[in-house]
Amino acid sequence: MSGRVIVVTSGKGGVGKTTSTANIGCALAKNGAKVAMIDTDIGLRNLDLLMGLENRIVYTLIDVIEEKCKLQQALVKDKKNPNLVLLAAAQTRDKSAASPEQMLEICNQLKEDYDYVLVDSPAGIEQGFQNAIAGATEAIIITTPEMSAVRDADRIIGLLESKEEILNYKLVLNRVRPKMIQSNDMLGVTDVTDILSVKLLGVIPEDENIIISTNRGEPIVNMENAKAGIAYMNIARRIMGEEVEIPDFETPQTTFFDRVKKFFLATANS
Amino acid sequence: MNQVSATEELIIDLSNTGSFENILFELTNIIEQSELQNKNIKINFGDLFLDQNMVSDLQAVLKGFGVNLKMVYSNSIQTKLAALECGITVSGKKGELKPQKVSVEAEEESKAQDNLVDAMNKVLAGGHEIVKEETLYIKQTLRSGQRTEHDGNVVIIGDCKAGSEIIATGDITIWGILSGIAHAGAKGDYNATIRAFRVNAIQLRIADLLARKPDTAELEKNEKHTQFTPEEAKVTHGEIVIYSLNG
Repeated sequence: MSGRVIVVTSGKGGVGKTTSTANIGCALAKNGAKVAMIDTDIGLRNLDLLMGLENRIVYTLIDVIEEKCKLQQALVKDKKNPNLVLLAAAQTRDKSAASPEQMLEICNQLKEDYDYVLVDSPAGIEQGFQNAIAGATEAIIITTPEMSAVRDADRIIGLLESKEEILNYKLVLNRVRPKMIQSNDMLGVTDVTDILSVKLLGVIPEDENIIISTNRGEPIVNMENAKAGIAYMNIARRIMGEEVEIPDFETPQTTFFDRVKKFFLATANS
Repeated sequence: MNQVSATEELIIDLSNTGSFENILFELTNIIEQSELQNKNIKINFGDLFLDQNMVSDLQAVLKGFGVNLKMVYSNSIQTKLAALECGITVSGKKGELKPQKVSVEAEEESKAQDNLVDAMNKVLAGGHEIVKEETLYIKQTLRSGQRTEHDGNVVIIGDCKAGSEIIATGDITIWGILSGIAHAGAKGDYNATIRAFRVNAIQLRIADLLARKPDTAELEKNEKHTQFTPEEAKVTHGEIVIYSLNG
């Protein structure tokens, strides 16, 4: 049975596509799946940095396309998990170096050997995006709860809907700040899913540890007890078919202290 | 690969052409044979799939001949969306292709319909309008970046998300929430109206008048209503006004 080719895209730049690809890939591999990640952001590659594999890259996606090497030679194994491989983009070329047909060919080859092929899409709707979606049958759309990101996500969903090969697409809402949602300063989860009319795959809270993990080249799922890491692990479980509830970020959480306060105030007033 | 003039505009049936190269070949032949320069045509693609690049290439080739592609008939969602992206009106209905010999019957049929309409007009009398223009009927939600232009009225069953555009020479009726830009009466008809379950448009345009959504300092929440009060935008005293259709 061949693997699932999932493109991770957003339209807007900087919302967390590469971070999500790296972490979802890691999380799926941690759960035992064989995962291949492809960075299609030719000229502005970042996936290798986030994985900490920059200095292990010998051959890139473009070398495979131009037949300077075999596909197998270009796949770089993850430092910790041998089930996870990366096909890096070329930094010294640009997006005109690949075509959708060539991308389709590569995705088809990879899905024979891997359970999941995650394609990290660049920002935009031009050639880079067209290359990224060429071989995909599923899509994960990343957005943050900001009007600009949501508007761009709507555009992207429109484009994905018109590609009949993409059979399903789901949303990941990234960089959510529960306090701001509760004080009505930030769009909430239901607001975003209402505007976009799309199914929710997961919600990732804003987490400073992301900055640390990016700079270290160590995906956040490998960090103990990081909030964003746990959210990414849950997303991976949902992708693998498990039903994991999405926590409610919108109603204020009563802490133990709040309840004690309430109790004392109630008894004081009686 | 038949071509028939059903009305003054030519409908070209390319639904049996195999590939994009064949389409261009066929089209070039037809245009050269029928002297279609400076005419409007409509093309029926049947089940054929075309993406946005193919449609815009086609438009460019046709422009080179001075031919304007006014409308596309297609059974494929992808082709329809690709044509919409290029600003061409689309319809799911296959163009009616009656062979040349029964065109006389067709004319008689349409004369009979005209008589019927005139009869109806007489019966209803006074203030009722029966419009014989073509209405574009789209049964899907328009997302950001999708644009529809049509000569006539437009009906959309679905929402029009912010970033989408609808331009019609007639009325625009949306069975959903209008959040994008709607331009009715695009050729100068101040009587055109824009209707929706909720008119939440970024901009409303009727003829050459323009109205914009007021600036809000608050975060706009797209609350889902279970009960809608439909709204209608009309020109009143030289300004676009939104009325609530509350009976």
